[in-house]
Amino acid sequence: MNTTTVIITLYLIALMGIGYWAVKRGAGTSLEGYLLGGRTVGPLVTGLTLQSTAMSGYQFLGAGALGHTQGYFSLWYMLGDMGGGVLNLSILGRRMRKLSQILGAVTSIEYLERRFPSPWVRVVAAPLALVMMAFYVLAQFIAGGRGLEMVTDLSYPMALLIATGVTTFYTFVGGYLAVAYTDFFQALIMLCGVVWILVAALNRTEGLGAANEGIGDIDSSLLTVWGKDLVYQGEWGVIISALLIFSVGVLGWPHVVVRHMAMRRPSDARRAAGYVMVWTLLFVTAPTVIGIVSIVIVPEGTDPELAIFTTAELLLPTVALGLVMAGIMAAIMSTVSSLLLQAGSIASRDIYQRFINPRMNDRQMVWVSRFIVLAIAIGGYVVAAFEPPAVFDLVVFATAILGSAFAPAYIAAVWWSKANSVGAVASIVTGATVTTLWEVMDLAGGTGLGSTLVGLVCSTLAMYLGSVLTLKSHPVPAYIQDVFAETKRFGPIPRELVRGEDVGLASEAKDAGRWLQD
Amino acid sequence: MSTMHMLSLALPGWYVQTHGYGPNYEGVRTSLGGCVFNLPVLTSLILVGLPAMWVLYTIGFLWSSRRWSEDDPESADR
Repeated sequence: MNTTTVIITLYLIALMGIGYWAVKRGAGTSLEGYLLGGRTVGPLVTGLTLQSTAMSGYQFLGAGALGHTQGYFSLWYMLGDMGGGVLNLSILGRRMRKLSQILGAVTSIEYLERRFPSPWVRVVAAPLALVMMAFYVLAQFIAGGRGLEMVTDLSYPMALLIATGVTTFYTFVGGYLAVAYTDFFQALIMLCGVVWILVAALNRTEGLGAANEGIGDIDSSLLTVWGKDLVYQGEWGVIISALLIFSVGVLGWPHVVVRHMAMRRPSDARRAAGYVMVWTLLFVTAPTVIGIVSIVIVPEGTDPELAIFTTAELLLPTVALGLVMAGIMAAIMSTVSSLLLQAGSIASRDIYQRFINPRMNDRQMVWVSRFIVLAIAIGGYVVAAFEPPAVFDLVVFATAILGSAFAPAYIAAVWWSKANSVGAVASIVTGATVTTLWEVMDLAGGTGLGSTLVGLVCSTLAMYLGSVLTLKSHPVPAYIQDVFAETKRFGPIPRELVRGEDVGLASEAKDAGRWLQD
Repeated sequence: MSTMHMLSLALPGWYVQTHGYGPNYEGVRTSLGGCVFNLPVLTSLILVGLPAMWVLYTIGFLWSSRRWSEDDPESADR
């Protein structure tokens, strides 16, 4: 067993240990405990779980590849990513935490239905989120299996089994607490790994200035923000989309925004934002800069997706390489566990309990959620073992759709008291449809406008028009207006306003359930 | 042809001054001398300016949210 394998093994054991610790802390004793950690997570862990969930294996594979092939054009993605966490916490954090507790919501889709009281919100949102997250989790499974295979010399099916098995284990037993604390641990590993490579890379090139001089000798267009051969010069629609996908788009990712609902206090969003900014400045910058600098370090013809790994392999001692590989696995596994838990909770709470079997008690629901997490993991393993083609393209597709479909709904839920259920459904449907058409018909090339930009604009317009035009026929209920006013007010939530968990929110739910079963 | 490209052809002096290279990037190399990290002016500005903007946004947010602790259950006991 080589040093790298030993480090990776220790790392995987540590993750399972955190899962066991979460069980000891009572993670599985109630549904709120399993899905939201009993709303007991502090600001430091909230900040880092938010960021490590939002940043998947893309940071180590995609961001490096973009920097390596397009040079400083990759700054646009990096700079959007840099603000995503702070935007999320400052725009949604406090209000979403208060509103979700008052309304008794334990999943991010249930939260939407309770704020916009109509079962159709959940009928539309739950399957859409579930399918998009399934695509996303599948790609991360494959990346995790391939990553482990690369460093341990295990066969791909065995590496995939270990990577998915460990992630599923701690998610299954420890729920949100295990996911959040493993994310925190993994965020630190990711940061150490990537900063170590950055320092080694800049040391090799004798600084960023010297590296840029070398890059200029190879192709000076890579030093501009317009991409290789200036292909993106003046393409502001594409550039704004690049900035938006990881900044505003993340406000619509259900597995990320659920972090706000699990905070110990609404005010924790404030301190979490400070921690997030410090971590992000270091972590987000490093992979892109390593990718760019790798142009003058790695041999020509290197697979761009392996630019960061090859740089590490060339420059770091074996022990450090083990840490770096653990960092890559951490980036992938932290996203996988959050996706698994959120997909499991949507399938169990938002579909099964809401529309099919509403009489289950809390403990039964915890077990149903666990078995759905397990079922999704097994299904994902079987599909990932065959490595269907173009899965990584689906990640970009899925994240763009999640962002466009849900971001305006989550923002309007806490900032616009007139936003109603018609506006919410129209916004989700329009955002998803327009982004899908834009991607499938490849309209970005012809129009110069990225799918995220167009999707977000159309989704926002649909929210506005849908709400304003139907405000008389579908008014926002008085209790939602009261709750909204309470969310704006500074002060502890009055006990009488907390509605508690109740799956039978609207009488139409029975009809919608019957319709779904038929 | 994009608006920026047309502008760059019409006003090449202004373009080189703000972007650090000419419309067809022939000036990228020659304009590097006095720039941060040997990068064109626009790249340097974006590399330093946008992260600085996010830091300022965070500081502004921390300042504007200083009353949030009033939401904490403990604040009712004070």
